[in-house]
Amino acid sequence: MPQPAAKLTFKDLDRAKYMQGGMIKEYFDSLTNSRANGTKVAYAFVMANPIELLKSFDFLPLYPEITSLNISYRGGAPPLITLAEEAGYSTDACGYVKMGVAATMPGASTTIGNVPGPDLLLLSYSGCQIYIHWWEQFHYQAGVPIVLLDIPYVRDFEGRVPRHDIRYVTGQLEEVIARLEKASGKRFDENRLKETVRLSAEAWDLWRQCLEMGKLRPTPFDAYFESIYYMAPITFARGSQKCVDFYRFLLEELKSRAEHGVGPTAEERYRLVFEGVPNYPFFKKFWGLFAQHNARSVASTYPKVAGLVDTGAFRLNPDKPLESLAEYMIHAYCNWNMPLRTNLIEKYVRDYKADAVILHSIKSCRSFSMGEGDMREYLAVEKGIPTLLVESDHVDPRYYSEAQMKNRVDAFFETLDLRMGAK
Amino acid sequence: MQGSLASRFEEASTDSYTTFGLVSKWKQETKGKAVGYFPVYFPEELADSMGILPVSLQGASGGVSLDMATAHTQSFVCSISRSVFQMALQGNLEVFDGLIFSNICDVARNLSGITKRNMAKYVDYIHFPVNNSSSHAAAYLRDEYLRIGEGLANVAGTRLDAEKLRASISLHNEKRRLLRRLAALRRERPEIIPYAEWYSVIRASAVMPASEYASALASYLDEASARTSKSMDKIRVAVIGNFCEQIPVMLMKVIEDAGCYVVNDEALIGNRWLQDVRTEGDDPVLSLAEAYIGNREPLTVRFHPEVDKQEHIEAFVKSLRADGVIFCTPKFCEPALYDYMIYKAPLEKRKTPYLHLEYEESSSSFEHVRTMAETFAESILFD
Ligand code: SF4
Ligand code: SF4
Repeated sequence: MPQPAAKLTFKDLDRAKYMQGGMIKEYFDSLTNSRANGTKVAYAFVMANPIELLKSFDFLPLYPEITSLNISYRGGAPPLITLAEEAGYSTDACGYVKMGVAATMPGASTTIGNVPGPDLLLLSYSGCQIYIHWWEQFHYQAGVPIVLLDIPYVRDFEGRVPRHDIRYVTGQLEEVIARLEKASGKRFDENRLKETVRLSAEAWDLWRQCLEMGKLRPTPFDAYFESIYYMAPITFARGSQKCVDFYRFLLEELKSRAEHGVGPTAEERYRLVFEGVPNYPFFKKFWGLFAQHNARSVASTYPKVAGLVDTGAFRLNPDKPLESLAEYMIHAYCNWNMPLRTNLIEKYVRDYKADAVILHSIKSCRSFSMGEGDMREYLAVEKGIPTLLVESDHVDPRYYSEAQMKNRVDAFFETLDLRMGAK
Repeated sequence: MQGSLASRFEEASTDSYTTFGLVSKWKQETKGKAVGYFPVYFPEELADSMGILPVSLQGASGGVSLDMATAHTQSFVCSISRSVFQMALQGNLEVFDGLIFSNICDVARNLSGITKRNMAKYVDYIHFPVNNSSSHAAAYLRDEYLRIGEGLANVAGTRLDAEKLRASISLHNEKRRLLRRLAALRRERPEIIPYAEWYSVIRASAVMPASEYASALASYLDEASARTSKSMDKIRVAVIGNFCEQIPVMLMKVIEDAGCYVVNDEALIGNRWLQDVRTEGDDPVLSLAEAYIGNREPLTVRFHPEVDKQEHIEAFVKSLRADGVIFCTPKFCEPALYDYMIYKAPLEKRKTPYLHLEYEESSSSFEHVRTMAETFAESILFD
């Protein structure tokens, strides 16, 4: 007689996170060893980077946003922020910029080891104006060349993208290829690009399926806090078989969680939609504030910074690699205008049957946070969706007050309970 | 300044903060339309050629409370974005038939969207190219201007017309030339144009119709050039950083009183930044785009891959014969804060003295600034 399948626990089905941790470690090791190996390091941004192109020229991409958040997650932000502020950077400047610049200053040491400086600065200007100012800092400090891709903002309030935007971005991609050929000393191989784009497209599609698992009730994963781990490979390892394998594994794991009825909290009492960058120095504590109420995020916007894959706004196509990359770069989350962003959150509430929205506004990032008060007005006042807006910072621990945050969150759940008649 | 000229500039300048009465009057008289645009630069010719009055929204400078706006924005953003938004919410901008923003920073960018959500009128946003050395940039901006032109044409109930646009370009070339002459006059003889007067003259350019402004400015230049005030023993300083949110005039007066001639600053820089636009050729929209792309004068809110800001600042300080630089950056204005880091490095290398001050458009207490500016001026004078 076949044995009944053993009941699996959450711990048994939480392996993708560790797999991701291994990939990150391997990636950081490759960065640390890049100088010794003679590998050229291209700095790139999370939003709208055409990593597929960089890979075609054997550049190793380094994302200072990712290094900064990892340093910060491991408690290493304060000394770097101090170093930058001593050099003259303002307390009001984006924490990522300060940490990114300080990490390569002489005498800097970080909680993830040595961070190599850039050989090339790929500036994909999409979703954040500070990207330009940030790369300029490196450019003027170390004379590193900037290779620029100017991605027009999605400024139409219905989300239409004019043809001239696509023409402009595609045209620039062709120019960038010529510059990368020169910088790398390698010839452009279109077939290699197509293959990388194909692998990327496959990973994007699997990632989209993972994200949509949040529609299940209960959701088998936390679509904000856990997605922050899961989104890393799509950012830095896209265009590789390893990345595809990771998302295939994750999808299976999430399906198993659903089958076995396990998830990141004991039960699912509240379904939340999250907006905003997390608070990395206090990441687990911040998560705990929601988890202790058995609240799970079912959808969130932040994991889409690298690409709004679940909206159908772009689809990478190996037969049209440049044009489809152009579309992908245009549809980075913060490259959407505020009404589009707000409507997306409202749609998530509907499609994922959420009970409430949490807006986490961060002090030193205007790209995300400017206008989040208006989002609250719209969602809470006009649409009647319970919405909590809290403020701290993504990397700077000076702007996080644990007791205050806890009070706000607890009070919110109390009123939410009343509203849901769940008491 | 001659009485009537002075009062015309003063009246227009004062009106451009919160009231916009001159705009209503102009609309009544001409039956035309008006659009407001958020700093820094806007191709006014596009609007003007269609009978639309373009008005530069330079903030309320403390003239409105910021409570409603702050609830919608975020606490950590500059004041101009909040005062303009507050005015949009409470009705001061009703006279405008449309509002236009552009990609100067993330704050202005998101402001366009929340303004749209709260205002039932035409709101648009220009994405100015930053890859200005790309061979595709001019064609892109031409198409972008045509797109904006269509939006404006809908507002005006007309069409963009090449001949009218050419005429408007000529008029604005003249206006910009006069503004640059004014800047040059102040640079050469700062003693004849105190800051408060300079400010009221240039601030009036935010709201006065271009032809009226150009002729008033020409008369002003004649009158000011003929002045004979004697130069005093003051240091010459360049003020950098006030390209968007406005510095309180009182703060500049404090700097002047501390022993400085302000020989350059960036107030309303967008109104004189563009060089002459070609009027020959059969595509004036392209000419307007090319003038933007080709301009090598650094502007904090615009990146140009071929512009070397550090080389520029050294040459600029030299050409101004400035004894020092005062960086005046608006509170929470990241673009200004990052450029400060870029500009200060070569100044340090060349031992050019500089000072960094922070302001808000509504600041009204300057004791701290007074002490800093006096110490700064003295350290240079007695060096
Ligand atoms: S401003 Fe915001 S989006 Fe831009 S780099 Fe900083 S954290 Fe990222
Ligand atoms: S003052 Fe600075 S931050 Fe504010 S809108 Fe202007 S450029 Fe943007």
